[in-house]
Amino acid sequence: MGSVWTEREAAHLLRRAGFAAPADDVRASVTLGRKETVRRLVAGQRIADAGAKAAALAPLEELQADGKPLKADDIGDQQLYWLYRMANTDAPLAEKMTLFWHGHLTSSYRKVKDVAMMVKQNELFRSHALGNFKELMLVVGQDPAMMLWLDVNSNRKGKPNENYAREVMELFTLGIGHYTEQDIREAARAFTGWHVDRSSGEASYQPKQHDNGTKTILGETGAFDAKGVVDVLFEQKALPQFLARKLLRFFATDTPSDDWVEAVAADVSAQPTIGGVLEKLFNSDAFYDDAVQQCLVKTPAEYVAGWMRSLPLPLTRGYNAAMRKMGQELYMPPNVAGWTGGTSWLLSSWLLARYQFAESAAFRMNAAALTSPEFTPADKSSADAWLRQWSDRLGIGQLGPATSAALAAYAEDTFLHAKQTNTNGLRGFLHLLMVSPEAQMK
Amino acid sequence: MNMSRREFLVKGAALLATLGIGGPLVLADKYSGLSAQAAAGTEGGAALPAVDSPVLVVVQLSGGNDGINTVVPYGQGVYYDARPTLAIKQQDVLAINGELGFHPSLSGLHALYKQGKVAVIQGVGYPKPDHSHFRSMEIWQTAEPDKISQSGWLGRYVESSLARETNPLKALQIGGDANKAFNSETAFTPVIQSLDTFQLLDARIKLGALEKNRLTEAFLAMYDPAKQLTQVRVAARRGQEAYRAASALHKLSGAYPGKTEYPNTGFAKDLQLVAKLLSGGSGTRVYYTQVGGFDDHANEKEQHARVLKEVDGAIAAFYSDLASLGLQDRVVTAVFSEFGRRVKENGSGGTDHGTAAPLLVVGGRVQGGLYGEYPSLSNLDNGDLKYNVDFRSVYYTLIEDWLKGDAKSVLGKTYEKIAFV
Repeated sequence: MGSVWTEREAAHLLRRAGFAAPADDVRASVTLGRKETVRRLVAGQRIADAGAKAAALAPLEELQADGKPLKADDIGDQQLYWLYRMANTDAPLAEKMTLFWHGHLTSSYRKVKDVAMMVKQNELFRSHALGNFKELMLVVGQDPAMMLWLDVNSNRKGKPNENYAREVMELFTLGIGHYTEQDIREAARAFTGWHVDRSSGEASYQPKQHDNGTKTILGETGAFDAKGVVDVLFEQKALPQFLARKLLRFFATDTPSDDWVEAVAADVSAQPTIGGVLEKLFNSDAFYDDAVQQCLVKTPAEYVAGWMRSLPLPLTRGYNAAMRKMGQELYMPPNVAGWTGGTSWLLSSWLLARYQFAESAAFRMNAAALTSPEFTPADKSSADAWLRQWSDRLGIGQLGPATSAALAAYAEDTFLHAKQTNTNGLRGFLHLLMVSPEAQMK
Repeated sequence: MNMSRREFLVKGAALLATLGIGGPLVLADKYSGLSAQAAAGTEGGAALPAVDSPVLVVVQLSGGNDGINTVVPYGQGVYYDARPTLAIKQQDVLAINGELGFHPSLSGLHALYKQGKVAVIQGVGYPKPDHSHFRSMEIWQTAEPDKISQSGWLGRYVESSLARETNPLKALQIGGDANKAFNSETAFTPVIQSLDTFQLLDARIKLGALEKNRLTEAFLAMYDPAKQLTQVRVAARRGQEAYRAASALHKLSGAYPGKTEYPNTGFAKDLQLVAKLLSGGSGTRVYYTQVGGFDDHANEKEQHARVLKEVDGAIAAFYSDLASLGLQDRVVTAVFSEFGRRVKENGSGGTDHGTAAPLLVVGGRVQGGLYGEYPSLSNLDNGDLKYNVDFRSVYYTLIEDWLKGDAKSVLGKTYEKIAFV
């Protein structure tokens, strides 16, 4: 197979499967080859410095932001800690899939109002991130945060509440048009019997609250319980297609062709794990097509965590406020369908918030780091050399001529011919690179 | 005079500094220092629309507002049978007549109703109603119940009826999430959360005028969609449009003499921003706002009372603010939700997704009163109300009779109009 595998393809894969494409990982990937790079991403193994011992993530309690330690019972600090994980993990694909599941099987702190439950759900998604989808669907129905979010406590024998049953079909597994209102009413009966205790945070099964009568769901009749519904759902042809489309829109393109959806749906059916599905996707030539590269808008989480990974920025609670202004608050998706995503991230106020974040990040960047050899090209008089050094260092994709020209003009005007190191000029240069249209995309 | 670029940057900055203009508009004004001066002298005079330019404010209640407990059929026993724990007691209802009344949280709207400023259009819906939040909201936002459409009803209005308006602020979404109502291939609608953050550069970081100028110029050069790579063109276009909207916004006079106190809620702040923009002469013809929290599957009693109060307080303050600014006759506010809720309450003190519901229209020029018929509470469709008025009739009326726009091209055909404006 004559598949092209250069720094461009490697960086594309790293941006999509993880949160950034730092220069050392890109170079190591080129040496490792596509297959091995993909294998390591799925297995959660380091790309560069494979021999080095994996850098353990610091526990939340050991981290400081703005001079104060993070607190585990503060939702804001948990948001920040998850960003820290995204930026510092050696297993970025698992972290990316944790974010995928959070946007797919949503729950929001705004209704759940329990930090520990939200974190527990997050751990559940992380442990199943690249695992079996059906297993995840079975356990998420008994996840306390999910149960509170979709009113499972109110779903009792003789008094069904349809909220969970509806979203399981509409948003989690099948998609609209593949079930009837009657299917929802029947499934709600089957899901009865589960209860979460708010004070202990534990879910339990209460047989007396379960409706063990006969139900007909999607044409099948039986005395179904929660597991029974999930069994019926996983027999539906719509399910692998639904998940395949969502995975493709998350990892590949906003507009996947029907053929591509079919191909990935076949993998969803055949592969025992999501990791297996993604391994095939990342090894397919279609994933590296010119039209696929740089075509997705970065989510705010990717935008912020990406800079955290590629720049020596101090941890600050300001990231939470910045993310909110960009339209994404971790642990608080806007509604049960999760974030709209795609080009909706480019809403004017959200986009302006990215620019202002870039400005403040460049402004806060440590001056010594800014003037370090890592950020300084060999030929200090060439705008082009500066541009290449920095865009590689930051893992931004291909820069177009308009961006290159604008940045070169800025460099000319500020630091290129300055007699002394012009840190303000370097900050402006960094700010503009982060603001560039290319840096909004992945 | 043939200044070098570098000279321009220095002199341009100095000139602008003497005019007292900063922020993102420096570059937009660089070839038109005079028009900026003129505009400053007449408080945005050129952008001021004719006084009779009607304005529509859309309020979207997200989550499915319980219409039955909003306009309460308190004269019917069947209402109390269906809602043993959720029914509003007769003595608590804010009566419209002997049969119907507002939820007790809606005291502001009730007062406006009594002044003849509120039209209640009853039983609004569409054929074969969808019970999904997302599909139903999409249907309301695109006005296309029978097919998936990529264009929004207000996007089509902007395309067909405001095509000659070059004002980048001609339609605005205030706050909220992505919304299909303004979707359009050709027309772009900015989304604003707040005035002070809606700009290219962070106001908290102090930069010299020269540096601001440089950064802004580099930004505009990068954000030229025609010169960008195909893949990133969408980002370039949106960024350029956001910049234009921000420049236009910060050129407004900023004169807002409003003294009305608004409740301390996000939605009230959004409506106050609308009032500010109106009084600043933004020339905006359509505003879109959203308020959430209506998906009352459980514990509806307290939650619904709270969110309705939030809506009521904000709309009442907004109306009184507009009245004090002399703008109440130029503005019509239409309040809708993606669906109502089921007639019978569920076992959790809540209600599940339903269908038809009342739609409220508020404004100085509105012909207040009841329109359409309250749907029967006993002749139901699988537990749900049957609609009487197609929501596209309301849209048609708003576009043709209020906004004086081309309703037929927006909605594809004519719909029966309702005489509320």
